[in-house]
Amino acid sequence: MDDDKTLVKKTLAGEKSAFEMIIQKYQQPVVNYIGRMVGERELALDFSQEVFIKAYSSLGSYQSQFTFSTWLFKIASNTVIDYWRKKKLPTFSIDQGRGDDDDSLPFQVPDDKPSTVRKLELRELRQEIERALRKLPPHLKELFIWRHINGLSYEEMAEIKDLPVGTVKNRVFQAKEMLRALLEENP
Amino acid sequence: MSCLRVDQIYLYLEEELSSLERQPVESHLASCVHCREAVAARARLTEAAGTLPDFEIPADFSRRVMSRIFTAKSSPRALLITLAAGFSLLSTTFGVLLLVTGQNLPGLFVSLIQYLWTSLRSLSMTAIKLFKLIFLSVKILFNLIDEFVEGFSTLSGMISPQARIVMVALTLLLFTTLFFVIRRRFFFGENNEK
Repeated sequence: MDDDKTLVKKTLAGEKSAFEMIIQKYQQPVVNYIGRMVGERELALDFSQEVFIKAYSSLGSYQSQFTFSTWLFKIASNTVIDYWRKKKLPTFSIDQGRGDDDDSLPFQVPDDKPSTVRKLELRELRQEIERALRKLPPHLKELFIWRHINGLSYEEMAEIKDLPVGTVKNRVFQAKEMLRALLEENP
Repeated sequence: MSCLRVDQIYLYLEEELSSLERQPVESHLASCVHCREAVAARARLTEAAGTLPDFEIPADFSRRVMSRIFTAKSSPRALLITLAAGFSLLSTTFGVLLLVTGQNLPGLFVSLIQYLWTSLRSLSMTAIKLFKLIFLSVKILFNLIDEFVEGFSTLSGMISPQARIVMVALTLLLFTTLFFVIRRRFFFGENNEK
């Protein structure tokens, strides 16, 4: 299979099948990301279609020195942000904080009771994680999803959100600690 | 070494520590049950998060996206198809009319043109009558306004200047109130729709 840059070139040259290959390659990651952000499968499918349509429309502005996947996820992220702005959700701004000042992690490992996380079966733990994910603030949830569900690197996420790599790492760790705390709260 | 920080645990699990940083962490873990438990819990959480099920995507997802993109983009072709369809429809209509009326083609054309001409003439007559009606209505309205202004002048001549001032002030107040009421109603109407 051709790499992304070759597929983009072919699409711009008029080869429709090249863009269809791009869709088939990225449909699952994009739907997984949007699905976990908005919490509904049907909505995620609709938004994912919009993401690919926007990507096709603005393919001419894609710069090949950047990774195609990060460019696509940036479009997906903006689509989710627009949806939340229209819904006027009273949550954190998804672009909240550019620095590390609000990304505070507990310094030492908390003195926990025996961990619920370790007691649950993997299948049950996954279900609990899905439930707890809905309670995470959007700006942390997004990075967590990209890291652990989409498998993006910290550098890729930093590029998408235009944040320092250190901030991105801190926020992912913060998301995981928050998730862990939520799981421990509801054994 | 004191117990591990949370960020150290995650960096350790993700193999982001250099060998220089890793060695003291591993030494500490060898002797600290609390930190070993903490690392194990976080490792399990990471493992579970990385294996969450995918959302199901319909088999024709990519085809649907492609048809949304390329249906809008194929307008010259769509135009040709529309023209061809229109021509077929016209030909079929003529064919049916020929069969129904029993006339030949030139005769059918002449009948159609005559029918169109008659329709156009009666439409024009209706339009002219409508314009006359509108013109008369406007004329009557202007006459009414003239009569009203004249009557108002006669009436204001009968009342004192102070009374006139009061009347003007009351009229202005009435119009201002009406303006704000109407404006508010439309404004609220917009907000309620949102």
